[in-house]
Amino acid sequence: MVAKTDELLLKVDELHTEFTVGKRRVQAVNGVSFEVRRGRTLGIVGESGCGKSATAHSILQLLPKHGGIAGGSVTYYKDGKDIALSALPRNSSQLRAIRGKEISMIFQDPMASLNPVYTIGNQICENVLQHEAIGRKAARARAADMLTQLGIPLAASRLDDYPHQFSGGMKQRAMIAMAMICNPQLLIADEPTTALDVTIQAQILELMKKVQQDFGTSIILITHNMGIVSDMADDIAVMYMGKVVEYGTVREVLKTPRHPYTRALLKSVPLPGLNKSERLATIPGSTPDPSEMPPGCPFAPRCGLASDVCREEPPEVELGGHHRARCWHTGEGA
Amino acid sequence: MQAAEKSSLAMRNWEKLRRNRLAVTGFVIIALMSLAAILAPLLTPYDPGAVNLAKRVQPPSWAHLLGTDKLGRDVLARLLYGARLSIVIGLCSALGGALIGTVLGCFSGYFGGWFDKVMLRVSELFMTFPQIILILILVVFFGQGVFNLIFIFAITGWSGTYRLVRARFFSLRQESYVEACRAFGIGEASIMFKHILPNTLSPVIVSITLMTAGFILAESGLSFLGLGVPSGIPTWGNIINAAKAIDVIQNNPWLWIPPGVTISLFVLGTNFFGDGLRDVLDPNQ
Repeated sequence: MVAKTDELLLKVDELHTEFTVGKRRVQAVNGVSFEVRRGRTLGIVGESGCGKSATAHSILQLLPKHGGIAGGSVTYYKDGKDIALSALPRNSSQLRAIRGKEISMIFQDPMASLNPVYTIGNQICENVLQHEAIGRKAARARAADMLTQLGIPLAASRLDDYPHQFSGGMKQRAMIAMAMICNPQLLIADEPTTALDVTIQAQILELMKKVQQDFGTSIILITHNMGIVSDMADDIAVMYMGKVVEYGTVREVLKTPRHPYTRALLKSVPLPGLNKSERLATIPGSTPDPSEMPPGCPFAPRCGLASDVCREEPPEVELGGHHRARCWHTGEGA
Repeated sequence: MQAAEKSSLAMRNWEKLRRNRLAVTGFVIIALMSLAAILAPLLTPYDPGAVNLAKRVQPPSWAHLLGTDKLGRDVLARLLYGARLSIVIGLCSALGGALIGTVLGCFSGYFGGWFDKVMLRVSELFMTFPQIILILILVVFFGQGVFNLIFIFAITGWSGTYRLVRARFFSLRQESYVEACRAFGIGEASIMFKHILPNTLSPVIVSITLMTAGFILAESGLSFLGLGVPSGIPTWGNIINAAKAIDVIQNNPWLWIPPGVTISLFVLGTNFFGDGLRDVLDPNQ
């Protein structure tokens, strides 16, 4: 068991990621900054298309060919040294040595994340063999160990099963095993439970908590589900249109949300302790087209507090501790 | 759940194949004919090349079950020995074409870019240019011969497989498991050949069987025209070559009906097998 610390593991600073769509360039990530600390979980929340996945994929430069980091930096801190991940060439051997070994990732759809033509064991072992100088037998033993820890009965014999013989929840467990087998420092989970049914979701989330406690792994959890974030995360980054609009610890952000978007999000989902007579609110309108962003605050057209000043780029307001929000009206309408 | 059968994908597909009547029929036809070709020396006492001018153009009899041709050679012996070459030519050409198409398709589909654009145009050129004319030109250029024919079939027949593999790569490279491979630091070559390629092979296998049938027909056609395998070597096409003369068609049916039926039967069997295989390997079924 590793305690939650304040030691910096990953720092994302003013990250810009662009995609070229036809002849236009679309800013998917538009100046995102956050920190991940050792042993802690950072939840990144936001609507579809807000850039949360693009941010996560930018960390390891797992972007499609038409996308790339256009500015800012991603720094990974390892044994006192800092490695600028965003400066490494995409698919370079240095970056590949970090992928899966130091920073691992699991994906939304466990059904599609395993190669149907290889056995589960084969795929888990491949990751170890890729990064560590150990034999096939040792790798297999470790894979079986990992699956057992993740609650798969008779793990050793199930290593020879093919993905089609696993259920959805078991596939996601296998994915977590693949991601965790090299004992990475950071696990990026891109909507890890969205494709699973609710009971399995809870199991997988519990499992991720257990893994974090056992290995001291930091987690970046990307989700659109406020309930999951409040349950899992230590810190939260709320994203809207490629920007972090509010950032802070779970307590700070959920108890005293200061950005109107965070407040609107919180009002739109049922959370434990909510007054039963209260109706869930909706956020009017829809997200603007990222290639035709309005000037100033991107949330202004949908915001109840919007005023003339919102046509100007809002400042990042420090609200004590790590808590900060990007809004002209952080003091109002609470 | 725990007693789940240890079925590999191959075993599962084998079970499905066994239950597919079309595939089994095709397989039995191919297997029997291939077996007959392999066991040719046991099935006939005659040498397919032995000329016996004393027994020219004899109708079927107990000594010569399918009669003899214009040089007194035993037609059954020629058919059995000819099967060896015809099947080998068909299969090797199909394998060669599939190999070229698969390798080019891998690179084209995985990396895209200028290589893909150029190769796609080249493959279109091969598809739109009448193949028979291309083959005729190449036969003139490289000369006749079994290996030349296989070579020519392979370099004219890769475009279908190329497009198949390329298209599969385009869709498979977007799959989550490819992304997962990248996220675990696995190299490009390994992703391409170890992770994506095996997932494209089912349609390639199907196309190999269908191509085999096509090339056997093509060989027969070319040899019939006297442009395929040199006439001294028995192949199904060279045997049916005898039917070029009208009097043979009218008076000596044993010289062209047996090879004709043999070719049709084998091609039919291969097509049955290929179609059955397609049903079995189609993941949507």
